[in-house]
Amino acid sequence: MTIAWGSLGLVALVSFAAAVVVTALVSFGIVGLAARAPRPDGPEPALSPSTGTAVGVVCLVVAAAIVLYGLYIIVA
Amino acid sequence: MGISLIVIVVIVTALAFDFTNGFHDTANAMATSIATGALKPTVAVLISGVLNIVGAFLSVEVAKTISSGLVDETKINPYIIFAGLVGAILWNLLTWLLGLPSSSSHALFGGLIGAVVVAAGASAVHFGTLISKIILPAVISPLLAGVIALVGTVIAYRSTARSDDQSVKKGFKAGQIASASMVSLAHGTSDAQKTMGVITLTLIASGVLAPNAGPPVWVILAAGLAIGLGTYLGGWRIIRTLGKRVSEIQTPQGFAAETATTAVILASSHLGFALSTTQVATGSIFGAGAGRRLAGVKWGVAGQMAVAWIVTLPAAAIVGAVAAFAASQGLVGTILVALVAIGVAVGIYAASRSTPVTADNVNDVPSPVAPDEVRTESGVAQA
Repeated sequence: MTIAWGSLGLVALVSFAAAVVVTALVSFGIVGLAARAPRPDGPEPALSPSTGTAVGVVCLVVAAAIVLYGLYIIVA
Repeated sequence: MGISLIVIVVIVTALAFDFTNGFHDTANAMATSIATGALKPTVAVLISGVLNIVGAFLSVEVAKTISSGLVDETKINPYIIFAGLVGAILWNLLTWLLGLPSSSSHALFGGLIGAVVVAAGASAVHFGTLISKIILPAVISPLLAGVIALVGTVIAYRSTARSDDQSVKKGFKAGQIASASMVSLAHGTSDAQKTMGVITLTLIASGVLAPNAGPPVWVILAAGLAIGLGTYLGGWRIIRTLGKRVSEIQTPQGFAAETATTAVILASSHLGFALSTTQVATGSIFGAGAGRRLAGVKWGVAGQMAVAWIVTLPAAAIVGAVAAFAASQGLVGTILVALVAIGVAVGIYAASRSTPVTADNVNDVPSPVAPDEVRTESGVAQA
C-alpha cells in the first residue's frame, strides 16, 4: 500500500492558500467598498471614498480571477 | 446487443441513488446561506439544483476512473452493483430522516464493497486503495477544511472590524451567493460523476459499451438531472442541522466556510481523491463557527456526526452484502430486494411526514449561543 503523501500535502497547501487568499481579498474588497458611502451614524471609514473604490474593485477582481483560474485548470 | 432488464433496473437504481445524493447534500452548499438569510430557501435550492447540473458537465475524469482499483472490475456484474446501490440508498434515506449529514459517497463505496465481498469474496476488494484513497482523505479533509474556514473567518472578522457593520454584512451576503454557487458547482462535478461512473461501469460490464469507454452524453444528462432534481427538492432536515444546530452562523462565517469547502473539493478532485463533499462542508462549518466564538459551537453535535461518519461505510456495506446475497439467489431474489428496498424507502418517507421540515420552517429553531452572548432580534451579540 502506498499513500500519496505528496499529493495529500499538495491538496492541503493549495486549498489552504487559495481559500485564505480569496477570503482575505473579498474582506479587503468589502472594507474598500464600505468606505464609498459612509453612513452618518456609522464608524469613520479608514479610506477615502475614491481609494476605497479602487481598493475594493482591485481586490474583488483579483479574487474573481483566482476562482476562474481554478475552474479553468479543472475543466481544461 | 440490446440492454437487458437487469441493466435497466441498475440504471434506474443508480439514478435513484443520485437523486438521494442530491437532496442529502443540498445542505453542503446552501445550509449557511439559508441560515444567514443570504438566499431565500426556495431560491437557494433552485440555484443549487441548476448549478449541480452544470457541474455534471464540467468533467468526466472521476467518472472514467470511478472503480479506480477499489474493487476488482473483472468480478463485477450488474447484480452486485444493484445490491450495492440498494445499500447506499437505504443508508442515505435513514440518515436523512435523522437529519445527519453523512457522506453519500461513503454510502456508495460501502454498499459496493459489501456487495462485492458477498458475491466475489473479500479478495476482490482492494483494501490498500480503500485506506489510501478513501479512509485517509476522509479523516484529513474535514479537519483541513475546518482549519481553513477558521483562519478565513478570523481574517474576515479582523479585517472588517472597523468598517461599517451594515455594508460589511451586505458585502458578505453577496459574497455568500457566489461562494455557495461555487460549492454547488463543485458538488455537481464530484458527486454526479460517481453515478455516471456506476452506470458506465454497468454498461461496460454488460457489453453495451466498449471497455474503457467514457460515459455517453445521455448518461451525463440523466445523472446531472437526477442530482439537480434531488438538490432542488432539498434535504431540509440536514439543512437545519448544519445551518442552525452547529453554531449561530453569520454571513462572514458562511462565506469563509463555503470558500474553504470549494477550495478543498476542487483541489482534491483534481488530484483524484474521492472526497466526501458532505464531510468537507461540515468541517468548514464547524471551523467557521469556532473562528468567531469557540464557545458558540455545539461540539456534542460534532460527536453525533462523527459517529454517523464512522458507521456509514460499514452500515451501507452490511445492507449491500445482504442485498447481494439475496440478489445472487436469482430473479426472485432480485425482485425481493427491489420490493423490500421500495418498502423501506416508503416507510422512511412516511416516518418523515410526522415531523416535516420544509422550506417554510427550516430556520424555525434557535441556534446555540455562547454562555456570554445574548439573543437579539438580528442574531446574537456580546452580553
